[in-house]
Amino acid sequence: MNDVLTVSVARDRGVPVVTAIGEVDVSTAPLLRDGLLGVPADEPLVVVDLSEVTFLDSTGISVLVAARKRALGASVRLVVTRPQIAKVLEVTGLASQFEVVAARREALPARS
Amino acid sequence: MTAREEPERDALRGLGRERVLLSLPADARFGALARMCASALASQLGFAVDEIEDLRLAVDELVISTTAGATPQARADLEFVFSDELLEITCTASGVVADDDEEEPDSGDAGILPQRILSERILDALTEAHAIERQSISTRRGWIQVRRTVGDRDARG
Repeated sequence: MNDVLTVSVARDRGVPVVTAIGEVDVSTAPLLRDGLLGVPADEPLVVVDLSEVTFLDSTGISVLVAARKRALGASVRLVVTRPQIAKVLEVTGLASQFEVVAARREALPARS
Repeated sequence: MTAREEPERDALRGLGRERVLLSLPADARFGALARMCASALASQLGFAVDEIEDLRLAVDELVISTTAGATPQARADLEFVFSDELLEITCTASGVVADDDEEEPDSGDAGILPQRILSERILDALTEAHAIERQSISTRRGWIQVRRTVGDRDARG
């Protein structure tokens, strides 16, 4: 069976942005983890764009939490637009551990 | 990990309700098939869209929890039993040999909330009741119950 998740890492306004598109489950979560591990640990801000993620389970949440821990004092901002994804963060009690925003532009620093 | 008394759950069985069976390799790559089956059934049963989304996630967590520690030969047998308002899904995994203490997936970092706890929180929030239990040294069984909202069914006429 084919993976149903694509993960890319790019910079936007100097900030590393990890973009996931598709379903994050026990089968595909390693792809997201690998993408997040591709971001240098000393970045002050990391944006994870989940706006095109249509499914997120506990394995995906674990990967995000691991990324936040790895980032130490840095900010990890999640772009979440789908109610179902926001709900997963909420019911696991982890929404407060991230900065959750509704659009990528809100996650990035203002243009100078 | 249960929120409902066992006798009440057992009362749902053996009443001539329709059953759907799905047998899969207990391999993570097949988890999406269990979700697809659950969502298709729920759609036919008249679950609302947001209820179907919740069900997909609950079934996913059920399969993850039940098949933890699966060997390459392990199987996951799912049974869907439904009445008008309640869908019960049982997952029996054979060929799971890890002890409970060994089942925690590698989260990549120490001190992170165990995934098992995350999964349990999700099932607490999305199901009427749920439980995971080991039946033998190599078999684990889990079940969830999900209720369809009555108002939604009535709205469909």
